[in-house]
Amino acid sequence: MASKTIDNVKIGMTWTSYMGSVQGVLESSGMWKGETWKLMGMTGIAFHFIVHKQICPSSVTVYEWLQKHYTMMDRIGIFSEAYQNYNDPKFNTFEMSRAEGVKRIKESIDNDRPVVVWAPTEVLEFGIIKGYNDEDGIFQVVSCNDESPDPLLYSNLGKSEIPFLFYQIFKDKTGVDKEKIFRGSLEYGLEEWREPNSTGPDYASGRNAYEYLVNALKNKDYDLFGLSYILSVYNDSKNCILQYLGYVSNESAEIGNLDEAIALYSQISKKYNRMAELVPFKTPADESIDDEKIYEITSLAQECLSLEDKAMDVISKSL
Amino acid sequence: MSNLHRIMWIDDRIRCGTYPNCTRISAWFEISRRQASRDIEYMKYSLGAPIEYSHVKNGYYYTDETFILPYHYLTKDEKNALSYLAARYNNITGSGAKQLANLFSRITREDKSISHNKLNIPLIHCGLKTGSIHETLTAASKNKLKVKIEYINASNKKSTRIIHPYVFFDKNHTRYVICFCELRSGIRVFRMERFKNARLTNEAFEISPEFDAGYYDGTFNYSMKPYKALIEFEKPIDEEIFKYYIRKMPDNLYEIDFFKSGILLSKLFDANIPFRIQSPSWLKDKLKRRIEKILEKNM
Repeated sequence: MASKTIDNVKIGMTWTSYMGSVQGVLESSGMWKGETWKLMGMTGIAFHFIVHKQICPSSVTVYEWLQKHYTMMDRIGIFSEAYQNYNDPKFNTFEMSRAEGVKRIKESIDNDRPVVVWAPTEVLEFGIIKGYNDEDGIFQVVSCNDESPDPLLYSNLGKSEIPFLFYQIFKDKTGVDKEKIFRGSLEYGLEEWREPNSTGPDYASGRNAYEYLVNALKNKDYDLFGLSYILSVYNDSKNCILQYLGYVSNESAEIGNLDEAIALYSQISKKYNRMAELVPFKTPADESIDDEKIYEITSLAQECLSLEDKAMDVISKSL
Repeated sequence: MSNLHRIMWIDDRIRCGTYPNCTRISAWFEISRRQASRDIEYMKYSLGAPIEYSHVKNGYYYTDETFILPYHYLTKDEKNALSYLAARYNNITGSGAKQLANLFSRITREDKSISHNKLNIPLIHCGLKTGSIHETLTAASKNKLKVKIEYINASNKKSTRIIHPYVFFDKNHTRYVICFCELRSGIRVFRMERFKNARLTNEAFEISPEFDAGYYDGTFNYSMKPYKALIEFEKPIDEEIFKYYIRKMPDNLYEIDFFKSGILLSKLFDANIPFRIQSPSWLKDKLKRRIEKILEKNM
């Protein structure tokens, strides 16, 4: 009976569990060394801003995983293979794709490459598979919220409350010119900002997402847990954008002046920090919240929309 | 003159600040003092009125003036709606919702009193129809009878289905029912608020072998497979303690299905019977780490 564990695999410190997991895998595999904000910025995921019309906590993960995760890695020169399948009971071959997934993940572990997967524990976040044990029929996992999570049974791969079988295997790395990465990530940020529709009909992306956020707050028709969660996630993302723009401004010879965008994101970041403070994460979903706080968050969100619009204009002109 | 009319009169007199007493009540209604005293006791102990006697005023008064007499005449639909809300609020933890569950239970005379101090009330939408549907499904689940439903799915498509309701659970202020759906020939989870109609049939159902109540833990994860542990105990165990699927094997060896190692280990300690985990190896490691942590903190 085979088994193998890759030691010292740690999830990166970010609220975006996909990129935290990617960082953990890439660092463990020797394919990345650097700050989390830099990875968030260079891949472009820091620019994701997706909001459900009732601020469902799923907001932050509703986008095309296969295509976007592949492209994000490609942008920084990481060659990866991602697989995604939905565990619909009407499918006849899901069990076969799950078994194939088990085989491929084990092969990656044997090659000393941990694997990024969707929901390896009951928490609906991305995580890492860092080992396996055939005797127990389990994968050893790294979770973003549990130091010592229970393992994932082979038979439960792809089964969760949101039952997607998603795994991404990281194969190799090629050098990419920094200027190309900077330009690619900022162009992606602009695309995301101007995206007319997000994946689902109830979700909006970029500047349209602000409209959903503000309307839900004004109509008092929102999921409180979702609000606290997305504010924490996007507080982190906006801060990453701020740091990344500073980095690009210092490093790039081709990108134009970003000083104004940096000043704007500095304000945006402070406002998100305040919003996240007003509804701290882990606010129970059944708690009530003062109208005054919601009013303040609504005002701050409206201000951020205006500031981010201006910042995106500056970025657009700089390219 | 009914007891209800007297109670309403007493309530009215108290609110007017006239401090009624048993002598005045008996004189007004031409009843015995003993009967008047029973009315006061009924208000105090059965209706929960905060009623006290003032020696200074020689009569009764409310210590909490916000008290109102319960409304006695509930229609069946209203009672169903309140029972539904009681069930829903009762499943919300960490908030004063429990107080509402208590209140609704008291009004419907369903004794499920739970105390809770903090009052933060989430809003649960409920029409009379929802209450009626909830009652139908609850009765169907209890009596194992099939239900014909009209259901609107997330894409706003209406369908008529026959379902076998098994269990209910709440998540994010939404009530769900796990059932067997004849249309789909499989276990499905439906949101209660998307039911447009539910009609009880006379046809009985058997629980599908696909569904295993032991694995149900109040989530959508009913399709998840449990971990299996082989554990040897020094003597036979009370299987009820574990609330998991347990298969007894020779020599006090048990195969136990479980979903969370932390809960299983706690139950193993609670059972207070020496045990040895034979498998899986990862569970043995978890036990070792847990004991090491306890020792670290205490030695």
